Amino acid sequence: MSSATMNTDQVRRAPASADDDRATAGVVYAYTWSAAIWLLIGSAYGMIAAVELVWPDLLPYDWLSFGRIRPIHTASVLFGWLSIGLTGIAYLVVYRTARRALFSVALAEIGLGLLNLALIAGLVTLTIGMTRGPVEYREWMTPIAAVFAAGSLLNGFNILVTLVHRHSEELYIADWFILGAFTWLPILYVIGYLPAFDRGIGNVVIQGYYMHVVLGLWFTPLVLGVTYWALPRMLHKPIYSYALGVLAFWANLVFYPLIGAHHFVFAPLPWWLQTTAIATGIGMMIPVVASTGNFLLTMNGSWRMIRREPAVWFIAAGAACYLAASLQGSLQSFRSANVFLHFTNHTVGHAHFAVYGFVSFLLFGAVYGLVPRLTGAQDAPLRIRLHFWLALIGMALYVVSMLVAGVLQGMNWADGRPFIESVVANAPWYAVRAAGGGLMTLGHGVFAWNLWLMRPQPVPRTAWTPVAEPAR
Amino acid sequence: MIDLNALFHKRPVAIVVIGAAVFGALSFLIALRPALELNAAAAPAAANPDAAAARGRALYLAEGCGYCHSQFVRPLFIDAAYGRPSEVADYAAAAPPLLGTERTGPDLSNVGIRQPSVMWNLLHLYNPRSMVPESVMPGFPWYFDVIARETAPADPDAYVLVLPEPFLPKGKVAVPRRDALDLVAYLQTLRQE
Repeated sequence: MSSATMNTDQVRRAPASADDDRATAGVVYAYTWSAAIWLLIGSAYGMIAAVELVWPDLLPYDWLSFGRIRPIHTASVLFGWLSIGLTGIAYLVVYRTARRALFSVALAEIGLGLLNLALIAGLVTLTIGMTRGPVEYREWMTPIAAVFAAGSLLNGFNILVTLVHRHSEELYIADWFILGAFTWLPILYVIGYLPAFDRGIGNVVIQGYYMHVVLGLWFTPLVLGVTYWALPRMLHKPIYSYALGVLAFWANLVFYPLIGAHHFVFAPLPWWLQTTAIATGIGMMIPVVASTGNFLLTMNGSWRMIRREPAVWFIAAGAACYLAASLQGSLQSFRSANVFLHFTNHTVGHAHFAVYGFVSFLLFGAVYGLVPRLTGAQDAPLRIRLHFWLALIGMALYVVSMLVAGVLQGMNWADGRPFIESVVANAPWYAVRAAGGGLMTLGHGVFAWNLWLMRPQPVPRTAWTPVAEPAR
Repeated sequence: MIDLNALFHKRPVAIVVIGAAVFGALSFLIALRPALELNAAAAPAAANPDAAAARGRALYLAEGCGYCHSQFVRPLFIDAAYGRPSEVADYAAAAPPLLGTERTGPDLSNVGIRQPSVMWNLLHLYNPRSMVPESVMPGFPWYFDVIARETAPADPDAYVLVLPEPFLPKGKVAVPRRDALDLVAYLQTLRQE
């Protein structure tokens, strides 16, 4: 027997110890804080952008002008807040489900460093106008994207090795989603940045594909994986149906890559490509209903407990938004609706409905539900409630105002009125949106405060006790 | 017969490999192959020979104009005001093509025809409210030098902007820098009819 195999076997036999708990708590907490800081940065940029549409002459500086800060806002919240935050919690889920130490805490720290490096470089370069153009969510210059992809590859490798040498008998469904996400992101990044498609209509095909797949095969599986672990843990009961989780995994993989072209309906792209995108958008209802139903049915019967657990409120709201935003988005892509709603703020409303109401809410819930259990810190239900209501009301104002504004724009254009009338019609709704964004941003301040209170404690308040793996 | 149950429940590498294979195959069918075919079918039009307009396009990208202005006319009555519907050839040489996803501002596919005046474009660029009071577009004052009226060049090609308060302080005028002229030169090339 070679020494390498010996080592592997020893690793397999070693369950997680109190030292491992501390090391994991440290690195997961570092990820969560990085994410929170990017959330605050992204919120600040989002607020500035929202206010500029109300008072366009307020900030006449090139580095704060709308066109420069929009990609900084999206990169900060998508790749800073959500990617880093979800990766941190994914590490925690893998640590728990594998029942062993992470393969390498140092590698996780290096991964975090690379992700942050890419984000900082991206913020600086976008500020000075270095961009690949308004190609959404792939505006970073290629070397910066390569650093981000490298960080994610390292994290994926770390997670894979940990799971291969796990101490538990079987993988848990959460691990499927997490492994999938870390498999698909690097492939997507390579395709999104291939120089062969820098020009021509081919770029548009790749653009539609990239901007939707990054949501569907990175954020969605990552946050679903995290929730498939977090929700049963928080409710102290197994997931309602393991098989529904498996169905959601495969259906998501089969349908989601195909729906990207719905961003360019009526473009000079092949008709079959657009129709496939619209039709598979309906197919997406299968994984969406499977996971939403699974979460809600898991909650069923525990409502009295949930009333006292505001962390679970985030998950309940997130699951509801997952269903509602997906349904709304699929309907919006129908040609008959797209005629009037494309190019309008309806799309902005949909994007925030999905990315904030669905993905961010589930991440908030997972952080509140899991991080205190790991760090041994007291959580603060009152402030979590405050955060929840700020986030929910803010998000509702944001989404409703933009959905309404979109309909008004579409009606104005269909009537053939001068373009500026659609701008005038939107003015009050831009103000409502800024107010909603303000509440969300306030909520993020409360979140950072809560996170500080959940910092790792020198002596854990309650020791971690392994519980039975959620039944299948 | 492979025991699929044991495979996916016990082998993380299987999830990675099968997941990558399915995703790779779908990506090829829905994205890579159509993109390659479309690019191969459309011969790139002659590259824009105008250096000023090329620099202007780079500025258009850097300032993120494309987030609010589409260059994508659909074959629909709702888009009739913006010129003829866009075709594959319109984008063949564009790196990247700027179809866009939003119209916070109007489509610019044929703005060179709609707004042929260089002076109007410069005034609008300096501060959109000077031309369209209800506009929410950002101004681009950093593309202009604000100087005393007496020191302004007399040459009409310098396009000296004279605006009342509050757009310019009393006695001051705005002189476009090269960037402003390049950006307008680019807008003037947008003539999709």
